[in-house]
Amino acid sequence: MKTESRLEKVLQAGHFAVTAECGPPKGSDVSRLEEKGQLLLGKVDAVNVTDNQTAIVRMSSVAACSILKSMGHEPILQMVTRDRNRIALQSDLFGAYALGLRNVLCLTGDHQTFGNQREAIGVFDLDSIQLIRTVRDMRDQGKIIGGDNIQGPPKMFIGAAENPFADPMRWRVVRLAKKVEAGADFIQTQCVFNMERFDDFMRQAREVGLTEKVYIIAGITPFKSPGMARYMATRVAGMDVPEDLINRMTGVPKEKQAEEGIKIAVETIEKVREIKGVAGIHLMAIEWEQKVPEILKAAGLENRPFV
Amino acid sequence: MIVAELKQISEIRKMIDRYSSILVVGCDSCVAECASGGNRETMLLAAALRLSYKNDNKYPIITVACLDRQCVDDFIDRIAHQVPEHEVVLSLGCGAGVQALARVYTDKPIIPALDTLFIGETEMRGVWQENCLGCGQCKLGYFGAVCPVTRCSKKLMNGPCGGSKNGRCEVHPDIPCGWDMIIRRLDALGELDRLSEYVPPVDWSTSHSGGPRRVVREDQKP
Amino acid sequence: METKPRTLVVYYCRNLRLFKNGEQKGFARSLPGLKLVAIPCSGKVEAHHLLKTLAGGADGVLVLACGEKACQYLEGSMRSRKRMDYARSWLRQIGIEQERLEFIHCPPMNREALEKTLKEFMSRLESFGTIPASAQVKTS
Repeated sequence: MKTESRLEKVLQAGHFAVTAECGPPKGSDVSRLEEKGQLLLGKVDAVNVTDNQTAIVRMSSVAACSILKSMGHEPILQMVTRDRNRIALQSDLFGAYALGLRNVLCLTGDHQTFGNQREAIGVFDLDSIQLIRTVRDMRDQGKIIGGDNIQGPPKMFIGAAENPFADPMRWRVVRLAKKVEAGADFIQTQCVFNMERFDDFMRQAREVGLTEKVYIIAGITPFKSPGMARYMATRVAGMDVPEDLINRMTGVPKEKQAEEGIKIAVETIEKVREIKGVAGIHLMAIEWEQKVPEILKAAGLENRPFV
Repeated sequence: MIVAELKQISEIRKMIDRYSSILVVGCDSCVAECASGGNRETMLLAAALRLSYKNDNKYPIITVACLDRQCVDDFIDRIAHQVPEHEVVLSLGCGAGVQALARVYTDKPIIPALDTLFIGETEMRGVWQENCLGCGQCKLGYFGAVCPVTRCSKKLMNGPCGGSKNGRCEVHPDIPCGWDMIIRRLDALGELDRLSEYVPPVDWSTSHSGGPRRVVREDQKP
Repeated sequence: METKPRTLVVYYCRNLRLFKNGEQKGFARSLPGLKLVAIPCSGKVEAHHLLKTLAGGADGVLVLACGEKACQYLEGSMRSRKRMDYARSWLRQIGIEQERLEFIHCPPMNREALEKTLKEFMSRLESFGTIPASAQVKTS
């Protein structure tokens, strides 16, 4: 064990892990956050808290993580390099650890032109791989960038994201290897819809020995409606939604659409569980957190291990 | 070269309406190349201003001049006799030219007619592309002569982000993904191995982050 | 009330062969306010020429160019058209009628057709007035 992370314990023990996602509110309203937290409590091994996702201003991830922690959750602090330079990032890591957080997911972040502050500067002092390495060196060397010693080094379980469906295709496994080399302990992938392509990605990852070095957790997102499926297929960068899934969604009457979306999600979970090297699932039911328990139950994952 | 664009007339007018004699000065270097501030454009802007003022029943004195280069003292001196005869100098130079004029003609308001945009190349007549951000630590040799700082919207140094789609950047489909370009080029050169090494955090202190920069060469001074 | 005739400057491409040698003077005299300027190719006319001509007192400028595929220098007339569009965008910015600048890819034209085209343009300029419409004629 490298850290005190509960998520690490679950994965190390060989359980099929379940993580979910929680977006902080667009303000200081704690009640909404607590509501979502309540729905997920006890149902997942850890919960990601996004960091100004899609460059829309939300409550800071560190603050939201801390609130969820006090509710009994195991939060995964998401950290993007878009908004903060290395001084602020390292400082936030100190603070996060002091507040009891033990997991961090290192990301670059969507470009600032995506959100509601399009005129802001994009910082990008570091990229996600440099951030991974920074967090690892903090934990394993007790030093910040430049070599100064840390008074009480944060020991984080380090995550990164990977998108098996983005271009250039042949680069995905190479980039994953670079992230693992830099210090990633676990990976959460972009949501999986194209099983063939994901299977191929996992095969390549196994071939270069990556599944021995890193826990790969497959992303799962249930469709709420055919509109959502089509939107993700055409308007979200790096998303691969096969036509037959969209057809399944459009092929059922309106009142059955949510059910079909959940059905597809459960089937996807079952399929990825079969793939060698997949250590768990990351269920992203954005603004649909109430469905998480139902999906997990249908997939046979409702009993979370006690570690 | 430096690429700039002409401002809208309304914006220029706002800045110079208080003056009744205007010396309009162009620059025949970079901004001539990008068709925004050269001799032709200077004549065009002067004519446009005359028409615009005429339309408002105003008739300020408008004189046209053009310098070979607006950022070099020896050239700037060439309008020395005209500047005192006008209340303002409207410069079609890039930001460097405007400020150089102000440094030389200390008692004259200098107004920019251009918005200076970037360092870039002429891909073909009429198309100019940003390709250098002046980071001060050129690593182009490691990236197949495609700049990850400039051509990647996020200045990534270790490979593309998850938003790259069909060789296009997530910011806009018109923007090619810089990393896609880097990978293709190194692949074509047989040098993809250059990308497997970890690139550590960039030292931005040689860029503008370290403060406005200055180069002094004693061997070049008079 | 007598109004001064509108000044219309016509840049016409020599290769259109609109006039036999020396005829253009007589033609210009027949239409008061008309100035005919022969050019070796419509591509020689640039945006700043068009604006300068208006700034210099012309009420309107017409460019008579060879057809798109008929330019002797291949791209001259097409480039001229683009420059005309660019010059018009400046008139829009200034707030002056962009129709004061006109461009025609000329089909083979005889004298009557030419006269008709010019008279039509002149009367359009009439409706625009001078720049600005309310200004008195200023001699500077």
